[in-house]
Amino acid sequence: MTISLSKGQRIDLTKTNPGLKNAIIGLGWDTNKYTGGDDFDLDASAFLLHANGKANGIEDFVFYNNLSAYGGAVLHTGDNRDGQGEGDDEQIKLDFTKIPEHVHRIGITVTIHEAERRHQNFGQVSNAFVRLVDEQTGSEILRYDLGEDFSVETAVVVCELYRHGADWKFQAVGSGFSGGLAALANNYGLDAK
Amino acid sequence: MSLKIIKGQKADITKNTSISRVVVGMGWGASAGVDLDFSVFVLQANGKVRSDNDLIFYSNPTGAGGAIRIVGQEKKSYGSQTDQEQVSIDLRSVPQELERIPFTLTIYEGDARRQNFSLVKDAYLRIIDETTGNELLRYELGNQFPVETAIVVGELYRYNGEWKFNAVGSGYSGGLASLCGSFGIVVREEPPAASPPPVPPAPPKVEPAKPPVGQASPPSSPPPVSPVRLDKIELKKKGDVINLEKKAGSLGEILVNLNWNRKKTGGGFFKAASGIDLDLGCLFELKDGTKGGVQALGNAFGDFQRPPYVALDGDDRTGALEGGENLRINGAKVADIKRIVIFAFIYSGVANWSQADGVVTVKYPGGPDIVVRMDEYGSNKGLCAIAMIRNVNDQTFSVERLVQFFDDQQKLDVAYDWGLRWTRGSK
Repeated sequence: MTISLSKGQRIDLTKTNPGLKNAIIGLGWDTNKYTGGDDFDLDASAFLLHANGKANGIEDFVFYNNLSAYGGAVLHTGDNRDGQGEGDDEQIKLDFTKIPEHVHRIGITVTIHEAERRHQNFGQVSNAFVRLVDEQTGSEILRYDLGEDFSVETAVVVCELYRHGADWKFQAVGSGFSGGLAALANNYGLDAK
Repeated sequence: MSLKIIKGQKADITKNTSISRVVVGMGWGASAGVDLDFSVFVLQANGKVRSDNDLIFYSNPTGAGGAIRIVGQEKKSYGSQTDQEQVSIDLRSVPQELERIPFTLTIYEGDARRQNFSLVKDAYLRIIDETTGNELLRYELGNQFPVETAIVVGELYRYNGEWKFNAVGSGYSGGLASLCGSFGIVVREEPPAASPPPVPPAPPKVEPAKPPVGQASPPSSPPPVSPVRLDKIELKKKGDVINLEKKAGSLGEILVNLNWNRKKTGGGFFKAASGIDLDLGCLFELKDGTKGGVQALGNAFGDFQRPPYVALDGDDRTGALEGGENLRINGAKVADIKRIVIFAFIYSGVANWSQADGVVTVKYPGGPDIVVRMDEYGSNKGLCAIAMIRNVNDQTFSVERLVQFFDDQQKLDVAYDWGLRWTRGSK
């Protein structure tokens, strides 16, 4: 029973799904099907944020060059270079039992690689979604379709997971930025270029 | 208060507005020898056309049950700009199952001629509220298409019951054929490069190839799906003649376009007065004996609705209108017209026809374009008779290649036995 979220909506995660230990965050998108121009390479990343809302260093940043954090508590299943195929294009796995206490919030983002040089932006990306699947049961818990909210942006904060007392909650964020992954990383307290 | 949008950007058109009818205006500048075609596709939710009729272009100027129409003769100026192409769309009347309307530019034989969109400058698309005449948005395509020969400039699409516009700005390297393929239209295979399109050898007037739909065709087995014809017919030799295909109803508007090279020898563009200014004109003879000329010289621009049923668009003195010059013939009045000789003459600049490299294209609804190239050079005479258009049984016109050079209009008149009196004019 998937719950469909809309932009800004917050929802209980572990409270309503008490058995949820391992979650797969699946991200998908379609890009323009044109032969001219450069290929699209979209990247999913996770920023692990401390109480101050910032990441402390590379260990708090899971992306194509750092696929695992905190002993596999947050795991990127690998870079998909062309967005081909059905279903999720990239996945990030979370093990709630392993995420250290100081990580209060996890920002999940999708960015376009070399967007500026390739003259690309999210206006050329359609059907973008994020969904959260219970890895053990395989059932989809929630889904957020990003819809038409973006166009000239090159980076999107898709959703955030955050602690609420002893539980984790999920918020459909859907905020776009220009400047790609570097801008996001800087925004989250990392020194990236 | 127009919104400037960039590639990828999406904009609301109808949301929270009362907008129903829009005009999509497009313009561009192409380097010499680049033959640019404009078309509109109408697609269902699956991204495909319903049938070939959902490809709207010069030969099929209306579609979507009449909701979409390429504006021909009645183009209007909005915000003191008259676009090269205007498409009028009644968004409320577009059938529900049609969800996307891409506007495309393609380079004819771009791959064969090694041409691509780096040779096309200043292309833009704007959307105008037809009711108020206000420009709603404008998208300038920029120049970032080094391999493409077909570009989807932008598309109108439905979203949550409203119409939006997306500045797509992406394309293909396979020309109109690849565009058609991706939108579900089967394109007839081009004949091998060596054999030109079906132009009969010189004298007798032979019917050109018929459209494959609903016509008895010669022995070859018909293709499984009725393909769209994207071919053009080139009249290559002096005396080649072809009849315009007449479909149900009248012939419609026949557009005679003259385009030529604005490039200086040795490369580089210039738009200054030092360029060649070619003027397009014609001599006409009506059935009732009326004779005359239509040309910018002497401000004889003619009239489309009234005799002589031939009208010349504004004169392209600067070369700024890179689409060239247009003469329009009212096909509905075929029975009133006896013959028309189309000519080009050099108003200023040297009589260097090889540098001018002129091309005349005859376009009309329902048939293939007919092309006559002014490719017989070496004449220092200032006027070139390009084509003779003749009434055929009051039903249609024939187009005959002439490409013959004369000193002036008077010599032309004598050569074709027109019988006008000539005095010098200027413009």
